[in-house]
Amino acid sequence: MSEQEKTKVMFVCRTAPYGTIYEQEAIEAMVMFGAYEQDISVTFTGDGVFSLKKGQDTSLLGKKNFSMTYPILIDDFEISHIYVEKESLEERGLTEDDLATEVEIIDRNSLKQKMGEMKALLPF
Amino acid sequence: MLHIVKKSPYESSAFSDAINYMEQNDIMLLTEDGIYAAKKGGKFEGALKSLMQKNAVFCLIADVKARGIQESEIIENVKVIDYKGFVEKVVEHNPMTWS
Amino acid sequence: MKLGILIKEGPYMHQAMDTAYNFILAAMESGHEITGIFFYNDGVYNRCATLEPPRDERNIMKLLTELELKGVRLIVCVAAGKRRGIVNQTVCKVEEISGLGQLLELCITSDRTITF
Repeated sequence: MSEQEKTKVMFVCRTAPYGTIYEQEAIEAMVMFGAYEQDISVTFTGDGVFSLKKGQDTSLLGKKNFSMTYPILIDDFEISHIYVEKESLEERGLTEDDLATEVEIIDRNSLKQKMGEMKALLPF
Repeated sequence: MLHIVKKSPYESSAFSDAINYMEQNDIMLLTEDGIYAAKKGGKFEGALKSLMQKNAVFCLIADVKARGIQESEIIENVKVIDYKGFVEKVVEHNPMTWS
Repeated sequence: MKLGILIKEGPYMHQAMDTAYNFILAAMESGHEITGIFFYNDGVYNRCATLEPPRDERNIMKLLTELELKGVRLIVCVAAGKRRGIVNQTVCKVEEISGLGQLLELCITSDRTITF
């Protein structure tokens, strides 16, 4: 399939992990979507950036540590891009070094543009 | 784009996050508890008015009426629309929901 | 225009399904096509067969079944459903249960995908 024929879909992750199930079920959807050879990207903005914080240890919660999935999303699950909004990181006292995986940190204005190019935006 | 805000601005960052993501020609629709952002005299009146210098803002009549807000209590230039109007806005703009 | 619908919240607790329902009716009256309604997260509860609100209250499950009779495709995510006990025995119609690929399919085939 040529790049032009692919449908551009973006997950917009705005919720922090563990407090609700949104992050977990968003990941499950990302992993599935990756198999369909479309152009799938993932954006973390607002409290969503907390999902990428490194050093998460969920052993006392009795839940899976979902941050382990992010480093393999691109290579194993064919996700095209993982974007993190620079302003949201800064507001929350986080830097690139705090993140559990390599991502594209971009500013809000660039993200706006990318959102405008999407066929569908899926907020989580 | 059409930015749909469905949470009260007093409760959630949905309204201010949506504002941050609005480009020229984008519009905003306030629905459900989001309509409280359109009430005159509230804390967000200034933010909404400054947004409206560049972008059009709509609110859903069903949600406004249900919550006892009179049209006279809605900030000037916020346009009140019904579900058919909502559909028209989705046809005109790609939607993003902020909750 | 072809409109795909994603429902992420359950019935009654949130207004999402009510807003979506009214939106869908208005869209159909205006001549638009609803390509499908995909139920994800707690949204799967909207298709729980045993919902029984008080008689004088709207029955969201039945309203959705009426939409289905009008030709709207309803899709309950199998994984989100299983997690919450919405399975073959408890869903309104077994045929509605399907995979996440159907959500992507909605995004591909619809002119607009709107989340409630």
